[in-house]
Amino acid sequence: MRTVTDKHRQDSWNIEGGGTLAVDPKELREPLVEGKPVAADVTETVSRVVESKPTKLWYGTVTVTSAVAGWGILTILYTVFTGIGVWGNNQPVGWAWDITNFVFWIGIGHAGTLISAILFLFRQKWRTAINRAAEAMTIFAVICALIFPIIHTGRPWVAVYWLLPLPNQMQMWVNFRSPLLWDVFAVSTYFAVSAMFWFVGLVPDFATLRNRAKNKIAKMAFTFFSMGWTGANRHWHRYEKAYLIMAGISTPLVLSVHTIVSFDFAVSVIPGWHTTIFPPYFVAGAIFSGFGMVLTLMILARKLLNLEQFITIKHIENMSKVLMATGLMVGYAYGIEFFIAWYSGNPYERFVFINRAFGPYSWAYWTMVSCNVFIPQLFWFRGIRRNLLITWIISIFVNIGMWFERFVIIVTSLHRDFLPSSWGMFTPTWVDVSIFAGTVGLFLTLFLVFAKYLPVLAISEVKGILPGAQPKHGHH
Amino acid sequence: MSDTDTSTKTYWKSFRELGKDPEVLEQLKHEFPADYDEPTTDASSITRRTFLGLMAASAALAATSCRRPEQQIVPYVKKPEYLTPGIADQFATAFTHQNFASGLLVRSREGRPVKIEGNDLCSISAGKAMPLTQASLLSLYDPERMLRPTVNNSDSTPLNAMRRMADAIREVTAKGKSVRILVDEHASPSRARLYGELEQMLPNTRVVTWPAIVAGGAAEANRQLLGIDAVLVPDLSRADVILGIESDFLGSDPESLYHIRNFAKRRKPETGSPDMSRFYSAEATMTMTGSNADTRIRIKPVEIDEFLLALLNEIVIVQGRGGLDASIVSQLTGRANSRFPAIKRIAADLAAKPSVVMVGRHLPVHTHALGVLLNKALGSIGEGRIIDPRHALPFSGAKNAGIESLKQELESGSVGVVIFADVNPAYALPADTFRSIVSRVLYRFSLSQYADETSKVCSIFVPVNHFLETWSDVRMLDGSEGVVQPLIAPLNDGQPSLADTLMGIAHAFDETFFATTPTFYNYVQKRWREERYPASGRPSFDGFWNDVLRSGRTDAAPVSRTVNWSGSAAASLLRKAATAASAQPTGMMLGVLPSNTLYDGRYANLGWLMELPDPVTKVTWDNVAIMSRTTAVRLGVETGGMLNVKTKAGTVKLPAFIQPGVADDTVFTQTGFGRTEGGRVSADKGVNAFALLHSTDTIGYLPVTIEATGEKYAVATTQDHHSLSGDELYDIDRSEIVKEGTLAAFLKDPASLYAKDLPLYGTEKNTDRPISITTPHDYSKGHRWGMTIDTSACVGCNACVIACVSENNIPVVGKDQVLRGREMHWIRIDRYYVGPDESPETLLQPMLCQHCEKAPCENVCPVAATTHSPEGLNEMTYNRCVGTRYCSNNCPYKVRRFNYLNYHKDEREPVNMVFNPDVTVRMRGIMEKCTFCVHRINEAKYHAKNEGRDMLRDGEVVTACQQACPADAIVFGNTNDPDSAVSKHRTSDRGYHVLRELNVLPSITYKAKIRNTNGGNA
Repeated sequence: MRTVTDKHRQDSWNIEGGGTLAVDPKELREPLVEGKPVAADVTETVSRVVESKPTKLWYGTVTVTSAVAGWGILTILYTVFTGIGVWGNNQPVGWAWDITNFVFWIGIGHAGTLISAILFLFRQKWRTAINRAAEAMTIFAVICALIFPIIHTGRPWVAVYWLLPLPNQMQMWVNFRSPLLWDVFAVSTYFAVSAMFWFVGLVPDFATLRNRAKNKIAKMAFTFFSMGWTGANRHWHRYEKAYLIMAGISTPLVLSVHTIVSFDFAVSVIPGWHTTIFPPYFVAGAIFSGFGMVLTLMILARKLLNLEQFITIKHIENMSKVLMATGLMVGYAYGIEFFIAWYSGNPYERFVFINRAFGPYSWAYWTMVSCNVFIPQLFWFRGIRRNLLITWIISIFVNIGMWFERFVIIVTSLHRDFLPSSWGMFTPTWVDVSIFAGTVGLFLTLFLVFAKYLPVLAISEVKGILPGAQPKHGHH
Repeated sequence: MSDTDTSTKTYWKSFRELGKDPEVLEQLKHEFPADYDEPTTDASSITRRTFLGLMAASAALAATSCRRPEQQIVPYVKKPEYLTPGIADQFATAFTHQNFASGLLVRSREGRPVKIEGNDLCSISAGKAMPLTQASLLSLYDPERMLRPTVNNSDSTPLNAMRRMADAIREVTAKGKSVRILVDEHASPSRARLYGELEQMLPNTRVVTWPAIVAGGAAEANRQLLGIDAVLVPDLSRADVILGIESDFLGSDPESLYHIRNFAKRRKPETGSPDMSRFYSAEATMTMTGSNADTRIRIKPVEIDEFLLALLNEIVIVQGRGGLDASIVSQLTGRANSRFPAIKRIAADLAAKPSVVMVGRHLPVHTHALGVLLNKALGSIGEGRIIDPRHALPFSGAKNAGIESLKQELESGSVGVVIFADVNPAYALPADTFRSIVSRVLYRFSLSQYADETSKVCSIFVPVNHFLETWSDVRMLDGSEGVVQPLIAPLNDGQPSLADTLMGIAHAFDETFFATTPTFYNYVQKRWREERYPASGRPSFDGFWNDVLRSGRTDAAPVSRTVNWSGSAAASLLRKAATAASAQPTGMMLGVLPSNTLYDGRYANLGWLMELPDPVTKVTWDNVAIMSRTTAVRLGVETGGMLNVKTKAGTVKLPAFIQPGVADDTVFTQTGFGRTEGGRVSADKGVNAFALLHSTDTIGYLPVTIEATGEKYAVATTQDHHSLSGDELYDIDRSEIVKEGTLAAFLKDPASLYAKDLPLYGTEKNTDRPISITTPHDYSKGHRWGMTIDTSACVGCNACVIACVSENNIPVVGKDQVLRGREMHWIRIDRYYVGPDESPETLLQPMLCQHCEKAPCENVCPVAATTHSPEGLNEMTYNRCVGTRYCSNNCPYKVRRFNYLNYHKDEREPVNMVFNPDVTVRMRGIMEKCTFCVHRINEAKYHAKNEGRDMLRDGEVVTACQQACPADAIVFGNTNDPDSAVSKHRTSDRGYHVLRELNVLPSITYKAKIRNTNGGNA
């Protein structure tokens, strides 16, 4: 990487360097971008990733991940042509890995919008370095998630359109009372808005890339997607307004999607599902898992794409803090569930929670608690928050823990509900594993393609937070 | 001009042709001259023409194979007089299970039988049918029934086979050797007469009854003590107190249908009519019957004689019940036994009221003799009493002596021909025993429905008919008779019945035999003309015959049997019992008992029965080694641990199964499994327990050595072991699921049943309903369907399950799917245990869709595939279902069933003919569940509409489960009608809703289980 710490430029931008400050510079707020680059450097660094030829490492990784994704698609086809019976689902466990994976991916998809919308509205400037990638991750996670509501049905060939409220000659309407239908609306809205938000943010960057593109096809593509962006004042004005509005629209979605996903469970009568704490608990869990995945990907990406100066340790530390905060919320929810199970005096509720913690799936429960509550407590230590390797490992634990959270909620509640006569056990089959692995492969493939062919950082936004980008009045 | 007319012109090529040489004219008819030799290829003998022919055929096949096979639907041009398409006909016939016959009504649609139900005119079945009886319908359409006779393994015709068999008989009898025809138990007077005639007609021939399950104890004891060589059938509805000694009279006994009916009549106490019988059961294994006991006493098999002797002592000496000879009384003194503290109370109870002692049929003669002595001392034997000698199973005399002498004959080599007439000793005997008895027989012939184990070692095999294709008759235990009439022409054209085949052999032996009655139909009719018609007082035989066919039965004509009490025989058997009691063997005992679902394995190829959970263990597709937890710990196994089970006769591998209530050091297993031939469904499912036995009686106890092999085996149960409060971890209150109480407590305060209920809820009388934020359904107009299920009457016989399977086209999914918890039964019998592992109380609860008013399944379905009908039904629209399974997840009763795979995929013709055309066969990927037999409701409505009625009468709709229930525990009807039976049952003081506190308002009201325990004050 070409160093951007050119002496001349550094001096020209070095406003705080005059020694006129009354406080020790070490105690100042850490800069959001290290190395004091100029705007052109940002463009250069980010564009170079897009414009250079893919490395062997990239080819190798994409080959592996797309092979896994392909295997997943084959096993999905096998399921569709043979029946859900190739999975481990049974009576009473009607949902297992299918809906676990669905909720898991939807949860992953929460960080993006939270970062881009809510943190935007709260003027958390540090978000700019990670929002593009986080939004991309959101969209890919939602794509992975959307697979499951369709393929988990016994007859996906009719489910794909019978679940939509389409007028038809039978005058057969969908059942608006069903939380599954709300899910259809919530998730598809979320996907549409997230994709639009992401695209709007990409427009100025597309224009930048268009201007630099030498390849004819790339030029055509970037010309098309930049939609005639010239960087005119009026464009910027409209863009900022549109971005703000989109952020406004997205913000309630961050809360609503997982609230509605939690209704799938909370609206039912099954002990362990039928609980009012689910909406906030699910939203906190979703943000938790989303940040977990962002950390996992960004720690790798900043290293591999040489973006350390933009995605700094401060970013990592901030995300670790969010992770710990949401992890505590989730832990609080776990505790409250137990308290209510005891306090309500409902014998079925009480049983379900004892069974979760000490029954045949207790290993899953304790995996979940360890990964989501115990391990993130390490983030109380600054040294750990700023240790990339440990943070990365913890983020992996969070991903695992949040998958298990959904598994525990779904499977342990279903496998032993009211009538002991119908109790059962769930064991996954190789198809269950393959399909989940396939979605992981798909997610990583999409992310790798994104990381190679689209600007991983919001070029225009990062420029806005460069040191000195905002007028400072310290010299007067 | 006329001779140039083209029509008359002759064109010729040669003079010979013109001269009309016949040879040439013949040649002209062919494309090629006769001496034209087809050029053949060098490599093979395929000629050019054959090749072209094959090409054309395969092209045609290839072209057609992509299409569904063409099927023509031909509407009736002239409609048959008695047949309306779409309207079912009912025909009366009868089913025989061993010596027990019961009348049937078979529903037939467009000429094919689709459902077997009991004949309500029959005094024995009273409209009910047991699982095995109902499932026999499936065997009619079993694709594995054999089609063609074989002679020396090559295809033949029935006639040829009969001739060959007659030749063999001629050959061996000429050499002075004998002929033996082995037959199974039956209840047909015509068959009995035919067997007698065959013995007369064919030289040196005897017909020997050798069933797979031989249990000679009861008949032998009756023969010796009472002078009645038959199994007497008590009338349990007359008994106030019943003591069962390992007796499975509600379960695997062939006459259980009759017993369940009578037993259940006295098991439904209400506040207004508190009458209830009391049932004690002393047993080592947990039988279905024992699980229904008010008080169950767990004893070891070696203690049974001691127990009975002590009881006799108590009744005869202490209670002073007389009538026994002095030689007997003297033997009883000093027989009191402090090991059984319950005996004093039981004895007092038995002595005080009309009572009966039932002894398990697998127990030996001397134990049955003790039972007879007890019943005699209690005064229960005699005309008009509980054990009425007029009520006996027909042809149920002791068979052991005949079997033993036959064995000797066969081993000695004096038998030249043996005909296995629908018996399968190659399966029902240990391999060595079978080899030793058949190896010296010159000719072995087999007549059977399936190519079973025995037919594999026979030179001639004739497949015979199903009973629904056959004429025959039956005698029932009360002396009434019925005719077995065919419902359908043999599916395999021209296939003879068993009796027809035997008659055919005789006819082939000598043409004068059966010349006037060439078919068994004529034979049966002849017997009825001679034996039954004269007493009927009817003017014409045809009228009498048609009436019998229509009603399926004659009036009861009890056969009087005189009791010739033999005190000396009793005294000698008593001595034997005393010796047996004192010589207590130590070590492990193995009990082999008939399977509750498969009985002796004859019906093992029926998937319906294979997948029917055992009523006690809930195991499907296998037999297991049932044992107590203590025994399992001693052997070092858990459920599913493989065991080596070794007896004198052989060794088998059986998986252990821990069952509450079983005596220690005793292991039980069931017969009927482990078939090796005779169909894919039955092949290699479980283990053949007959291979372990070495006595003439093929059920009973024998010493055994058992060791764990360390292997694991997956046992497919439909319900895991969850007692209501067994495991400490799960020690939680589930009293909202089942309600129970003792009779005394219930009569004192009916509310005691609901002591643990939330205060808001009470019985159906309590109409308080919790506040609802939604508008309740308006059922005020028309019907509102509801059901009540009496858990006190339910004995767990599974008749409802098979009825539902048959009625609703429920697929058989196989062991692998059961292991994954995907069995498809719409109704299941939930079984819960209360109390300690050693002596638990059992609670049974048939569980099916509750048709909730506020059904949790309905509001979660995104596509509105499950909806509420204005009549209170929770309906499934299969076409609309996309299979999210959300409804099933949200069902608190978990009664919904999902088609995880296409379970009808592997069905072969003609098994598809068994389907009820009124019910959709479901595809994969959709949810299904109990419909309350909505097709029956709609059918009844059509008829009502034709009669100008909007409302159905009470009893006009009978669900399949209700129809089959021998205990009459299920009542269905319109709850809007306050006078309907179901409305009255719903207001019972025993009524409750399962999981009532969920406020889903189920349409099914359960009635609490009442136990008439001896309160300790006696």
